[in-house]
This record gives sequence, C-alpha cells and structure tokens, in this order.
Amino acid sequence: MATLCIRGQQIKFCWPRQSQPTIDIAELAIKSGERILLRGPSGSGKSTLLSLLAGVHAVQSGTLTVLDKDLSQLSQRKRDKFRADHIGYIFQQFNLLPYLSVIQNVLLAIDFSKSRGQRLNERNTSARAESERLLTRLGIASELWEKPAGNLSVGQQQRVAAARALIGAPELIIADEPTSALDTDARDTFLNLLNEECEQQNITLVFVTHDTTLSHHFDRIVELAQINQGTSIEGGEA
Amino acid sequence: MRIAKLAAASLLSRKSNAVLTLMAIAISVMLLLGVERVSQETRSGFANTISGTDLIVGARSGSVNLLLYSVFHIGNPTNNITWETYQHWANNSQVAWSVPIALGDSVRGYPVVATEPTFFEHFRYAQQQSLTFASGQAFQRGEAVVGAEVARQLNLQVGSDLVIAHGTGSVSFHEHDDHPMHIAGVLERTGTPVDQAIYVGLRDLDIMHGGTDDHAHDDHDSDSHDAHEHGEHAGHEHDAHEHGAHEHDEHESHEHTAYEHDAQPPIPGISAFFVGLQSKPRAIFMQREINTYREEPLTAIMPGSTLHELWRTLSGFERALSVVSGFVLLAGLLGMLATILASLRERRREMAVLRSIGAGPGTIFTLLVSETMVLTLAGMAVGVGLLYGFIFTLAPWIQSSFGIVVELSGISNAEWLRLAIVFVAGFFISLIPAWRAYRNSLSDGLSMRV
Ligand SMILES: Nc1ncnc2c1ncn2[C@@H]1O[C@H](COP(=O)(O)OP(=O)(O)OP(=O)(O)O)[C@@H](O)[C@H]1O
Ligand SMILES: [Mg+2]
Repeated sequence: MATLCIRGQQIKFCWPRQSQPTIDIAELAIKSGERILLRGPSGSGKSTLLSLLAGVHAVQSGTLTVLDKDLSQLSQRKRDKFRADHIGYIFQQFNLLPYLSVIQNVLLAIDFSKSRGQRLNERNTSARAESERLLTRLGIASELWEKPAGNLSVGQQQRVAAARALIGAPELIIADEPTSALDTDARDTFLNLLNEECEQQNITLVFVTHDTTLSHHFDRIVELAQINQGTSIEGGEA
Repeated sequence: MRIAKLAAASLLSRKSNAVLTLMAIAISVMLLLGVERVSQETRSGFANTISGTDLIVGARSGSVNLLLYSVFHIGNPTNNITWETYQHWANNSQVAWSVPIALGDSVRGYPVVATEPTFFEHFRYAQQQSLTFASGQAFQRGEAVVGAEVARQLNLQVGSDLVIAHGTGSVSFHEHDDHPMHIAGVLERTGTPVDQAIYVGLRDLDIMHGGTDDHAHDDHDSDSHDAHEHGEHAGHEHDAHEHGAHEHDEHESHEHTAYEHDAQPPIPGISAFFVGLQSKPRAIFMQREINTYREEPLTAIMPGSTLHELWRTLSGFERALSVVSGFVLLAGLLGMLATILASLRERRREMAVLRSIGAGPGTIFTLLVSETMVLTLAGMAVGVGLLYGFIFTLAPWIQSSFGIVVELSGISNAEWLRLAIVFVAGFFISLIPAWRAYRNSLSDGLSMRV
C-alpha cells in the first residue's frame, strides 16, 4: 500500500446544481513514481478528477487517499496546505502571474510552502539557486528571468510553469493539458524534460491530454470513461 | 507580508486604475482632515489674538461684529462713539486702563488703527504677552508704528515714509500724499492681526480726515506747512486752532494721558475702546452698566465669551463641512469598491493560479483585503501629504486675510481619529470584494472560467 501514490475507493463528486455526479469511480490506484496519461472525451470530468486529487474540492463520498493522506478527512485549509507542500499543478495555459517576473513566479511555490523550502535546504541548495537550475534545465535563458512573465511566449510560459511545479520536489505533479497550446516539437521537448525531472526525483505524474501521439511518454494510460460511472460519461458515449 | 507584497504587485499591474482610486481617497482624506485642521487652527489663532482685555466697547451693534472689527479688523464699525462718552467711561472708578481706537483707513489693504501710544502698553495677546518693538518705539505726532508683516511686505523700516489712504479697500481714491507718516517703530511678530496693522495717533487720523469744518481747516493749513520732517512745528501751527494748544502740551511733556484731561478731543469720534478693569470679576456688571448707558447706545463685550459665541456660529458651518467631506470620503470608498469588484472579473485566472499553488480561499480573501487596504493606506498617506501641501501654500493667504498664523504642526488626536475612521471604513469596504473573491474561488476551484 505504501507504494501507492493515489488510491480512490467509491469516490463520488457532484457539482452544485447538477443532478448527477460528474465523478463516480469505484477504484482508482496509481503507484508512486508512475507516469499516468489520463484520457477522456471533453466534459467527461478529467479536470474535475484532477481538482479532487489536488484537494481543491473534496469528494462527497468514498475515500480518496493521496500520499497516505485521506483527503476526505482533511479540512479545506489542510487540503490547501497539502497541495502547496506536495503537489505541483500545471494548467493548459495562463499558469503565471503576468505582473511578477519569471523567477518570482517560480519562487511563488516556495513562498506558499515551508516544507518545499526545507526540502531544498536538506539538499543544500537555496530556492533561488534551484529555480535557476530548473529554468536553465527547461531551456529558459537567463536574460528572461527578471522579465515580467507576461512577456514570454506560450511555450516558454508552460516551461516556467513546469519549473514552478517541480521546485522543492513535490511528490506528485498534476498537469491538465499543458501541451495543447504547443506545437508538436515543443510538446515532445516539454514532455522529455518533465519526464526526466520526474524520474530523477521520483515524482508521480498525472497528465491529461487529448493528443494520442504523446502516449509513448507514459507508463500507463487511464481511460476515464472505463472507470468513471458519472453521468457525463453516458452523455459522452451516446 | 508575503500577501501584502503580492497585493501591491497586483495593484501595480493595474496602475492607472489604482492611481485614480488612490487619488479619490487621498482627496477625500485631505478634505476630511482639512476641515478639522482649519477649524482647529483658526480657533487657536483667534483665541490667541487678544487677552488681558476685560471689555471691548463700541457703538451699539452685534457683539461678534464688534469683536471682528475691533480686534480682527474685519468689517466696519456701524457707528462711532463720541469722545465725551469715551471720557465718561475712561474715568469710571472701576476702569484701570482704557485705550480708544478709530478705524476705517488703510494702506494698500493693511488696516490703519488710530489709537493712543498707551495701546502698546496695555494690549495683550496669547498668554498675556505684551507687544514688543523689533525696532524703534511708540509713535508721536506725525509718526506711525507698523506690524511685522506690514513692515516686511511694504519694506518699511524705522524712518521710512508711509502714505495713508482713506477707506479700507486696497485701491483708494483719497490718498493723502500730502501727509506721509514717519515710521517710528516696527513691532515684533505676534501671529495675530497686529502684524497686519498700522498704528497712528488719533490726532493724526483726524487731521487727515478733516472730520469737522475746523479739522478741514487744519488739513489745509497743514498741507502747506506741516511737512513731516517738522513734526515739532506742527503743534505750533495748530496753536491757532481750538485744540492745538494741547497737542503742543503733549509734545512738550510727552505725557500721553494728557488726552484724558482734555476738554478738547483729539478726534470727535472713535470706533471702539479696550478696557481693563480694577477687578476682573466685575466685568459682567460693568458690561451691563455700559450696555444700558442712556447718553449713547453702546455695546460692551467680554472678548472670551464673544469668541465662544463666534465658535457656536462657526461650528454649525464646520459640522456641515465635515458631513460633506464625509460623503466625499464615502464616494471615494465606493469608487474603490467599484474598481476592485470590476477587476475581480478579469482576475479569476489569477485566483485559479494562486489556488493551484496552494492558496486557500482564506488566502484569496486576505489578498483582496490587503489590496484594498494598501490602496486605502496609500490614499491616506497621499491625502495627509496634500493637506500639508495645501496648508503650506494657503498659510500666507490665511495670514493676510485673517492675520492668523497657521502652523505646520503634527497630526492632532482629532485628526488621528478621523484617519482611524477612514481606515476602518476602508477595511469594511474591503470585505465586500474579498468575500466575493472567496465565494468565487470556492465554486470555481481550478477552472479558469473567464
Ligand atoms: N467549476 C465548476 N462548477 C460547476 N460545474 C463544473 C465546474 N467545472 C466543471 N463543471 C462541470 O463538470 C463537468 C465536467 O467538466 P470537466 O471540466 O471536468 O471536464 P473535462 O473532462 O476536463 O473536459 P475538457 O476536456 O473539455 O477539459 C462539466 O459538465 C462541467 O459543466
Ligand atoms: Mg478539462
């Protein structure tokens, strides 16, 4: 069990003012260090499931255990702290605060989490040094570091977002279609870099994409439609 | 602190909106404090203008009016008091000292006060401070004493000449070029209307006016012969006339009290007189006695209580201004509320990003509160700055119009209270967008619905 990063049993989630649950999953298990591709038609509840994993919303029934913590037992505040400390999240687009500099955007993750900072201390590195290392690693030239994040291209912004998700070595990275705004070449580079970092630091990766050509980057593919009994699915299948 | 920094950065990214909002708040804070400040300053300024005088007596009129023209040289006396009436009261056994004044003339907008040299001995301001001479001494015939501000503005020193005009306007039709006065003394600065005034002898004023036919004659005679360099001769010239002899006496003996025993007055009518009593507690009886004098309708006031009366009149006005500035503040705060609420719509993405990093709805709430408070505090700071800027630029005008010196003093308790009210009001206003953002972030979660 200890090797499981995510374990969900009978989890149900229903958005307010909707009659049927969007998420109704009997069993979900993801091992630590696994790199998972989550797939499903639009509106099937992928993003909803990710927000449950990240603890932004709480399951309404069942148990959802992430990194040995039963999220359904935690308060909103504890779940937020849990996310800050243990989870890196990357959106499809607009991940950065445009008015902060590139490096400030990366450091923001440390600002919100003491334990990420502590982990860096244990590795004898500073937040600043680590963010510089990650940015360099992800191909962001040092001239850009002090520029406002809004000035970067979409592809560059996504790489900065990856750096922010990775800094302080969280155990889990959740990415919701982070490559859909990138061209094919950039997608592969992005995923290669992300994968390398995840492998090095033994980070579990849950990645949502519609792009079937990216499957080879992952250990396993989870089809949401197959595990989710939620209503949206039935609509999707019909 | 981290959140306050984030709030400041976010505000900076919406600079033009933030600056406009901030200025609206700053201006309302300036108004709110300005009303308080101006009323406090004028209050203490007015209270400091006269002390040690038990009664001021003038022709029958409103007591505030009498106070304003006799002490502040604002407005005009309705009527004159005859010299005989003045003599009657000056010789009353209760009266320790009395000083007559005659008003109505000016030099380039500065009021001319005709009085006796004893004025400089008896007049007190602030905490029983008497007037002192920066240079020179009290006037004699054909001479004048000027306040510190008059000396500075008109560039007068002891020995300079001064031409006195008829009427109180700054532009005057009757300039008595022919009677230039010799400056005998310049007073030390007092921060009261004394600084703005020019003091001359009663007799000199009368000569300039030529009030009666007799005096008119005086006037013409002296036109030709009474050059200011020969003040001593002036007395002899006037010997031929009814009261000339006494002026001669005065000059020979330098005995100012000579007037009091004078059957022939130096001037037929005066505007008011200041009275010091043998026993201060008797002021109220004396006041009643003077007010019911049968020979001539008079008004006697106790300066302190009339000042209080003035404050009562002004405090209604002050309260109205405070209410208006309160509403201006409310408008400023509502403007800020509108701007921040509007910005929330564009910032749902920003909120989603912050939540993904681990910010809870509580943090979002705090962020919005800090943002509003940063604006409010900055607005308050700029408002205080504007206030001091205004006082600094307005002080000379207030001084020249009212003779009152406005000090650039620190922030008073009453002002801190008003600032605290702004702060608290800003805080309550900030809860509205904060609550809205809190609700949004709970329902939106990480979805970036725009
Ligand atoms: N914040 C929200 N509030 C209310 N309902 C929501 C919210 N977010 C999603 N939903 C609903 O949940 C259902 C699933 O949406 P979700 O975004 O999880 O789908 P998805 O699989 O991520 O789709 P896509 O591939 O288009 O991103 C939709 O019917 C949507 O209306
Ligand atoms: Mg989605």
